[in-house]
Amino acid sequence: MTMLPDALPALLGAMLVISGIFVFVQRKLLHAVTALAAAAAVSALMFLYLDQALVALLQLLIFIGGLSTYLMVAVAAEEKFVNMRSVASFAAAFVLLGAVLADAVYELPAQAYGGTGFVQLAESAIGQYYGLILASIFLLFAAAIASVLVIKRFVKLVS
Amino acid sequence: MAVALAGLISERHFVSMVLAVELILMASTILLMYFVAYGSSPGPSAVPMLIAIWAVAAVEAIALVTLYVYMKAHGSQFDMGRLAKLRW
Repeated sequence: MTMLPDALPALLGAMLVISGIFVFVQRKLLHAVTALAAAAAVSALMFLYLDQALVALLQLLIFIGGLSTYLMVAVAAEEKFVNMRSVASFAAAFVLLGAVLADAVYELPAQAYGGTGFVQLAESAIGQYYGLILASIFLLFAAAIASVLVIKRFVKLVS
Repeated sequence: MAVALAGLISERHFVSMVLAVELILMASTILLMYFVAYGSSPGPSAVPMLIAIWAVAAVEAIALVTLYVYMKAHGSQFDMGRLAKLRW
């Protein structure tokens, strides 16, 4: 039973790497965006493992509920991939960069700091700015919708 | 992060390069939360940083969709090798 918690971060990391690779090896853009959504879901699971449930929920809301759906609807439904420049160069770059980054994070501390949760940090950092942040989020999504409407109207005017 | 950087280097499609940047931002949130969970003294400055990463990811998706719709309507190529030759 004790093997499972030890193996869980490695399993989640492997799932994240595989879904990240699928973003680039899929030939259809819709499948690539779906792989990106899967990577976001796995990262939310990682946040759950780190005992940060609020961040996991926000990650799901923003990356899957917001960005992935937006990309699927607006972009991925109609476009196909061009071929990758070279699968060999992708593999070589992945191995090289993975080795460099793994070496960089190898010395990070391995013991959890159990004192401070993200909610306490958030309240001390942005507790008085909730309204401002909510207004920013509303404006951001309004800009997302308006950008598509404006550019479609602009394209009609030009063509 | 390594997968995303490798994809950014080896890809030439405009949309897939932007997806690679989205993956980089996702990896940076994981690294930031790792520091919050495992750091010896996590400070409240991690919260605005996390919000900033999410905001950049959202704005990048908006820019991607806007450029995509515009380029698609004009019949532009999405190959970055050809886009790099464009001039004003």
